[in-house]
Amino acid sequence: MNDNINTERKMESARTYANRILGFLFCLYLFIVVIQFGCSTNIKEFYWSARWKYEQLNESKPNQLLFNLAEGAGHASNIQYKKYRDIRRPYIELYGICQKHLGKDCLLNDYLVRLNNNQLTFLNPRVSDKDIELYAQKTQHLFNELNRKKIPFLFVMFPYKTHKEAPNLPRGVKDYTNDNADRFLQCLEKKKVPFIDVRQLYIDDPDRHYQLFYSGDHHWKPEYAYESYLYISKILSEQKSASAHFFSCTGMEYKDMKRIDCENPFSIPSQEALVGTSYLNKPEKTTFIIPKAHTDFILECSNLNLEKTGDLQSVFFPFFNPLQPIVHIHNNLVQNDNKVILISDSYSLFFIHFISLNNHNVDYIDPRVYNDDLYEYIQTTHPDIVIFAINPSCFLNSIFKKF
Amino acid sequence: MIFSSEIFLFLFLPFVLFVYYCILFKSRTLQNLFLLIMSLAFYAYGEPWFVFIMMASIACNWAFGLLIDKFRENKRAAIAVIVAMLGVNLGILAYFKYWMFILGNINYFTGSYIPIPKIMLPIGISFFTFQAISYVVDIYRGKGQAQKNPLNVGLYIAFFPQLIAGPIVRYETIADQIHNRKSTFDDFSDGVCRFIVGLAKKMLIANSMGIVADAAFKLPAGELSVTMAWLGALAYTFQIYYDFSGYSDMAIGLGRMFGFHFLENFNYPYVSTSITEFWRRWHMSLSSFFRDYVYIPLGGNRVSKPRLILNLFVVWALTGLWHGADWAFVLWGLLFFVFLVFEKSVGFEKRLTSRWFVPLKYVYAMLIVVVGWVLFKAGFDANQAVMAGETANSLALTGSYLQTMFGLSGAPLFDDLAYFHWHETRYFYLFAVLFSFPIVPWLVSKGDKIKNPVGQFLFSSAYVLLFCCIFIIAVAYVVKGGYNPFIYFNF
Repeated sequence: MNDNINTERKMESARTYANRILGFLFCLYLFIVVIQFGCSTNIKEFYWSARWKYEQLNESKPNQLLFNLAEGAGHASNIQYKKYRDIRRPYIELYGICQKHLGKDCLLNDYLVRLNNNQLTFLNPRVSDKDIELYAQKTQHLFNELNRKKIPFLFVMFPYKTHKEAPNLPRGVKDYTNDNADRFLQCLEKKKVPFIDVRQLYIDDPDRHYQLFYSGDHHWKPEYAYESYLYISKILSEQKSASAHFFSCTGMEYKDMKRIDCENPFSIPSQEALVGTSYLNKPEKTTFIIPKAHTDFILECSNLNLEKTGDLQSVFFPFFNPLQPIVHIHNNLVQNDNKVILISDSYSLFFIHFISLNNHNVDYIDPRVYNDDLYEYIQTTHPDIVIFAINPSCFLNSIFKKF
Repeated sequence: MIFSSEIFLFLFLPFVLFVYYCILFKSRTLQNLFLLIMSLAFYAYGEPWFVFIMMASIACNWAFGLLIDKFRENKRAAIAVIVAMLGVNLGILAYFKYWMFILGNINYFTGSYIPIPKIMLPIGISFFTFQAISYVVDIYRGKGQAQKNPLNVGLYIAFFPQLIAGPIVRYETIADQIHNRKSTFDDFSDGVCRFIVGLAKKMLIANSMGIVADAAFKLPAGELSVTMAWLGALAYTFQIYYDFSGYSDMAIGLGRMFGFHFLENFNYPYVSTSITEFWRRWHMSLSSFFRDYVYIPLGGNRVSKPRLILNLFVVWALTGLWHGADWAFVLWGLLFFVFLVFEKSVGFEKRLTSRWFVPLKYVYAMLIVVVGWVLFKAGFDANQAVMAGETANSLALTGSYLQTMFGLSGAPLFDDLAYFHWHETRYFYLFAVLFSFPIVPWLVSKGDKIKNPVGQFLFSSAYVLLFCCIFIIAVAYVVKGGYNPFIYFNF
C-alpha cells in the first residue's frame, strides 16, 4: 500500500517536473521576446509620432482629450509595430510551413490563395452593381469636367494577377476581381468614357501573363509595365486618338532599351510577408527596362521630403515608398512641354518612368492618400492629359473617393 | 484586448507577471490593486468608454454588498436590497443588450414606428453582470463576506482572465482567494500548460473551423449544397466548442498563474449521450448559475409536475435569452427545454442502458446539439447584422439552412465549394473530432502509470516538447493575424 502511494507520488512528480520546466521555459520565452521587442522600439520616435497624431486630432476635436491621447498612442504603436517585422518573420515562416504541410491552398482565410501554378494571389469579393455604377459615374464625372476644360482623359485598366480567362484558382475558389473590372468597363463603355483594357494584351497567353507577375507579390513586373506601355501606345495610334502622342514610342522600341537584372525591388513582397516563403519556388529576380540613351530627371516627393536628380536609373531605382499623395517628375531632356497627370495606384511605380520618357512633366497622384481637392489641382495645373490607371482590385479601396 | 493577440502575449502579460511577481510580491493588497488596475486597462483597451459602466456596476454592487451585510438581521430590508440590486444589474443588461430587440418587437407586433437607437453592446456585459449578482446574492446567503474595500469587489468582478467571456466565477468560489490565495510555482506552471492548451484550441482549431462555418452560413440558400451545409454546421459545432472552451482554458490558466483557482467550465460535452448530460458538461458555470440562482429559488424539482415544467421553461428561455437578443436564441434555449423535459419524463438516462444503445443515444444527442447550433449561429449572425445596421431574419435563415441540411430544399448533394472546404480543413476536422473525446487525459494518465525512470524521463521530455511545439505554432498563428474573433465576447 505504502509502496503504491510512493510510486504515485513519484509518478505525479514526473509530470509536475515537466510542468515546472514548461513554466520556466514560458517565462524565459516571454523574457526573450520582450527584450527583442524592447530593443527594436524607439521610444523617442514613439513619443514624437504619438504627439504628432495627438496634436493633429486636437485641432479637429479639441474636447476629446482622452480619445485623442489613445489614438495618438495607437498611431505610434502601429508605427513601431511595423518595425517588428524581423522578429515576426520566423513565426510567419512557421505559419506558412504548417499551412503547406496541412495541404492548404487558402492561406489566409478567404483572402489569399495559392494558384495552381504555385503563385500567390489575393481574392476579392464581388462588388455590387450599385457600387460599380457609382464608380463609373464618378469616373464619368471626372471625364466630363475635363472635357469641359478641353483636357483629354484616358482610363487604363491594368491587368490583375489572376488571369481573366485562365484564373488557375484551386477547385471551389471564386475570385471576382476581373468580373468587377469587366462590369466597370461595360459601364464606362455605355457612358462613352474612353478606356484601354490592358488585360487584353496577354488574354491568349496566360503563361506569359503569370511569368510577368511576382509569385509572392500582387504587383506586376517592370517588363509587363513596359509591354503594357507599348500596347497602349499601339492601341491609341490605331485609334488615331488625340492622346496618342503622350504615349509615344520614339526611342522606346525594344532595340532602344537595355535590361538590367537586379533583386526583387520589394523589401517585403505583400503576399510573401503574410505567409512566408515556403510556397514560393525560388527568389525572383527583376528585370528593369531602361533606355540605352542618356536621361536626365528630377523627382520630387514633398511628403517624403525627397528630391532626386540624375539619370533614370538613379532617380527611379530604388523605388520610393508607395502610397505617396503626389510625386512630381520632370524630364529635362524632352523637348515638348507636355504636362501629364497620372492618377493611379502602386502599379504605376513600374509604369510611370515610361510615361516620363516622352513627357516633360508628369504628376503622379495616388488618390488613396491624396487629401487635397483633385479638381482644384487640375484647375491650377491645367494639364495636357489626365490618365486614370488602376488595377482591377481597386474597386474595394478608397481610390474613387476623390472624384 | 484578447488573449490570442500579440499585444496581450508580448506586452500585457509579461508586464503584469513581472510587476506582480518581481515588484509587488511582498504585499497582497498591492498585488490586488495592481491586478484591478490592469484589468480595467485590459477592458478599456477595447472599450474605452464602457469601462466606466463597469466601474459604476462595481461601485453599486459594493454598496449593495455592504447594505446586505448591514441588514443581515432584517430580512425584509435585505430582500429589498436584493430587489434593488437585481433592478440595477438587470436594468443595465436590459438596456444595453435587449432594448433594441424589445423596441424592434414592439414595432413589429403593434405596427408602430418607434425609432430604434443603435446601442453598442459592452463586451462581456452578461458575464460581469452575473458575477455582480453572484457577489450580492452569495453575501445574502452567507456564502461569503461583504468586502469593505471596493477594490476587492472590483477585482472579483473585473479580474481580466474571466472578465470578458467567463467562466462565470461565483463569489463563494473565490471570496477567500482574494486575500488568502497562495501563489506557487507549481500553480504557475499548471496555469501555463492550461493557457497553452487554450491558445492552441482557439488558434489552431476554432479559427480554422470558423472559416468554414462563416463560408457556409453566409451563402444564399440557393447556393448551398447539402454537403456544404453539413460541413458548415459541424464546423460551427466544433468552432463554438474550441473557441469557448479554449477561452475558458486560457482564463483558468491565467487565473492559476496568479494563484486563483476557478472552477471548470467544460467537460468534453461532445461525448454526451443525452441532452441532460450535454448540459452537465457544457458551459458548466452558466448552467450551475441558472440552477442555483433561478431554478432552485423557483422551487427546483420539489414541486408539482406542471410547476416543474414551468420552472424549466423559465430557466431555458432565460438561458437562450442570455446568449443574445434574438428569437433564435430563445428558440435555441427552448429546443433544449423540450428535450430535457422529454428526457426527464421518460427517464431517458436510466433506460436504454445497454452499451448497444450508446451509439444510437450519441447520434440522437449530437443531432439535437448540431441543429441547436444552426439556430444559434443564425441568431448570432442576425445580431451582428443588426449591430451593423442591417436587417436579418434569423428564423428564416435557420429554416432554409436546416432544409438544405436534410435535403428538403432541392439543393445539390455536393459542389466545388464543399470540396474546397473539405480539402482545406480535413485535418482540422480530424483534430477537432479527436480532441472532443478525452484522449489527452487518457494519454496523460497512461503516461503517469509508467513506472521505470527512463520511461518517466521520456514521457516528461515528450510532454515538454509537445507543449513547446504547440505553443510556438499557436503563436505563429497569432502573429500572422487574420480571423480571430471570440464568439462569446458578444454575450
